[in-house]
Amino acid sequence: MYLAAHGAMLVAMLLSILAAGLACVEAWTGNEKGVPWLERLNMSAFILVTIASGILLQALISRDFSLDYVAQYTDSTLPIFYTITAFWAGQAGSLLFWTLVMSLASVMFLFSDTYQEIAPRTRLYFWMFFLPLQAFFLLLLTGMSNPFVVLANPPVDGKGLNPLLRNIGMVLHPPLLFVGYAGFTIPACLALASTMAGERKSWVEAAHNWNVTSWALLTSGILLGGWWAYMELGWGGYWAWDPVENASLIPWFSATALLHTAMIERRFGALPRTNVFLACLTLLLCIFATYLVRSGVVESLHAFGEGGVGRPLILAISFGVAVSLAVASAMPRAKAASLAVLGSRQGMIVLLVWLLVALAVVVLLGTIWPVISQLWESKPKGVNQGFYNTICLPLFTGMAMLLAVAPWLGWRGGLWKPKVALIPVAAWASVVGVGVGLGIKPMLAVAGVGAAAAVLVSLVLLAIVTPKALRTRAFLSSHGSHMAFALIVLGVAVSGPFQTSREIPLSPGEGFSFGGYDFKYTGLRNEKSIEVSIDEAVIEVSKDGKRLGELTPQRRVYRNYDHPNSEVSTLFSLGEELYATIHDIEGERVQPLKVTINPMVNWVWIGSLGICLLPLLAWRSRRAQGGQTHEE
Amino acid sequence: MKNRTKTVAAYAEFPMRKLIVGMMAVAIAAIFLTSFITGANVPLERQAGAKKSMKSDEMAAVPALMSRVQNNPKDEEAFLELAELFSRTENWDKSIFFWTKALELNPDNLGGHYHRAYSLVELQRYEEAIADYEFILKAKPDAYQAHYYLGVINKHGLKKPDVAKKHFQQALAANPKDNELVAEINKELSDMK
Repeated sequence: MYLAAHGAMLVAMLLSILAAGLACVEAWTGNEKGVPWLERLNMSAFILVTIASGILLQALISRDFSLDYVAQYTDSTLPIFYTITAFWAGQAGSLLFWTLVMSLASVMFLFSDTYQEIAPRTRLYFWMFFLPLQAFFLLLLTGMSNPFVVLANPPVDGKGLNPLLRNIGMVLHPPLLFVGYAGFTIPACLALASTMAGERKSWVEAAHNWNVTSWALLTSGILLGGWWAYMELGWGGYWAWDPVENASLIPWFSATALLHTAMIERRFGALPRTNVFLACLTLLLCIFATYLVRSGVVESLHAFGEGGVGRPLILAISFGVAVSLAVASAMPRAKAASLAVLGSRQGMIVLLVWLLVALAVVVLLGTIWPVISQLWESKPKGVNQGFYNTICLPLFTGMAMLLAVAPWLGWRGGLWKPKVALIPVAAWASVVGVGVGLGIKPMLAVAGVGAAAAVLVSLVLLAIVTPKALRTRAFLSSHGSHMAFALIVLGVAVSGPFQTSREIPLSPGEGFSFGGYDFKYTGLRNEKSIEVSIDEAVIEVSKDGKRLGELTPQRRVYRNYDHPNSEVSTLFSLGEELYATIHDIEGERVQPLKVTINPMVNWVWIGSLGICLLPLLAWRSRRAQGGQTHEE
Repeated sequence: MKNRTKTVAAYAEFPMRKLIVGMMAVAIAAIFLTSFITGANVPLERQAGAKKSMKSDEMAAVPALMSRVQNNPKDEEAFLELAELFSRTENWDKSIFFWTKALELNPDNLGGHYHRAYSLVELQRYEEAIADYEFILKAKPDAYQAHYYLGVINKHGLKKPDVAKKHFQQALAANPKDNELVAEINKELSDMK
């Protein structure tokens, strides 16, 4: 059966290569008659990839430990939910998942109205760019990263899933990232194809829903990763500027830039070259994220395994850069509409793009710094969190300020409500003034809170001034997302620098006071199952004599994993969230209990929810796509 | 609409079309040829336990654990997890580094000494491994596993059969309940006769 699955991937690769070759021949000769064949061959490849994926899923569900991948990531006691999600727990499975989603996206695009509306020549070029990419992923899956390797002497039981990954955040984080990554394949290929074919239908319009959805999924994946780190790792934070975290953030910067510059092209026909380049860059950075995580290039920081896919990935990225630059540079220069002045909404978007580019460059350089510094350092070291925070947080604060000001600027310049427009700026100045007056430090946090307040004030005013617009999906998606971003900025600005924590060993009956709260350790609860043994400390929390609730941090020992694993417990609040972990337990004594007070941290998650869901309101119907003109 | 039409009209005859199509054709040919090279090298059957590289879930855990130790350099649990991850993937240098960090925080962790000693043996740093086993024996004189490993080091690594024999015998004298280990020790002793 597994040989059949491997064979299915192999045939899918050969079909993709065959179709891509046919597309090249047709493109070379200027013939478009073969397009239906390309579609059929791609459809066949999709069916074969689906069959291979189904076989892997079946192997996981039936816990067939004769398959190496199943033995590596599951065991007989793993709940079925985690067993299914083990599909993307490993490198080979996650690459298969990415390929499956990418292939599915191509089929969805094939049956979309957009595809029916574009010219046959554009379709031909689309397949010429898409099919080699699909073939490349299938090459990795049939060679260096094969999920269908069978064990000659299967173990009685598998190794199981790492306890740190048994969390809903980590279950959803990878697939959302991969779906986001795969989703950007369509806009990138469509951008290249439309450009080369001289497509009359605007590709930014045609790819709008793909861009928005992929962006929302990528954002969800990144933010869920942060939430997982907060809830599972027990250090009280959510972002550590780790190379693996940064890997997914870098394409997010270019994707965000693309969403905004595409709007300028849709409305005014400007920035066509930038958009083609950004669409390609986003896809290439998604592949680069995979390269960073899988190649071992950041080994000096974290010894990631070289799964054999590093070199092919970097070759593919280099080739993609060459093709993207060739297409973008060959575009005619003078025909695109020119941009408005800097003091316009267009100008603000361009400024935003430059901020995003700066952030992407900083994060990219910081992430690969150990590799760069190898040139002159014998023992290269990575940059620390301070480097990223010092440079990136002011840039994020600047971005928030742009969101407060930009809505009051006309698309082509000038303020459309000059008196009202001053209120957000005044709000920012007031917050900063109060912060300075009270001597609150760090100032950057005060500036961040001020910027968030300015955005919120700005959007409330905008809703008051334009009540009709409030009912439109475009307003809710764009300004709602900006408000959600402001909430994240607010949460980060407060929860980061003003977090306090205390560690104290406790025996049952003992307690302590901290930050105005009283904590009392009442005892230990034990729970045992075949899969896991749990010790749970029960901490009663009260404030001013009033009981607030219980914190129940746990210490778990999973079967197949020798070392205990800490489970965080939180007491939810929109103000100060209490966050508890235990390091060790000796008898009934916790050694020690760590309590952290995280002010306003939940606004990060509320903002995250908004920024992931609200952009989906920007989905455009076919009629809206067709009817839009530049000046609307 | 006017602007868009203008922009689009300019694309009608795309320069460098044949160059780009040629580049794509070369890429397809490269993928096709590479499939033969890699396909031939990759076995579809593997021995259980032969896989040495770090798994993806373990890879995902490493940065998380690194964040923990960066934020709390006294997080012994995170050091232990890192050490175990690197031991499991046979990255001995790194595993020794993290076992040492964990042992600095809790020197009495005998399991940590066992693991570090194992990693040291893999790198043939026998003297340091012996120091770990001797520490274990000082804390727990009936630790027959430590005697067994000392026997193995002396027999196979340092080529000191007499010392090795003494340790194997001490291991047996501790009356181990692990039948497999007893069989192993007896085999080692019989080989020395």
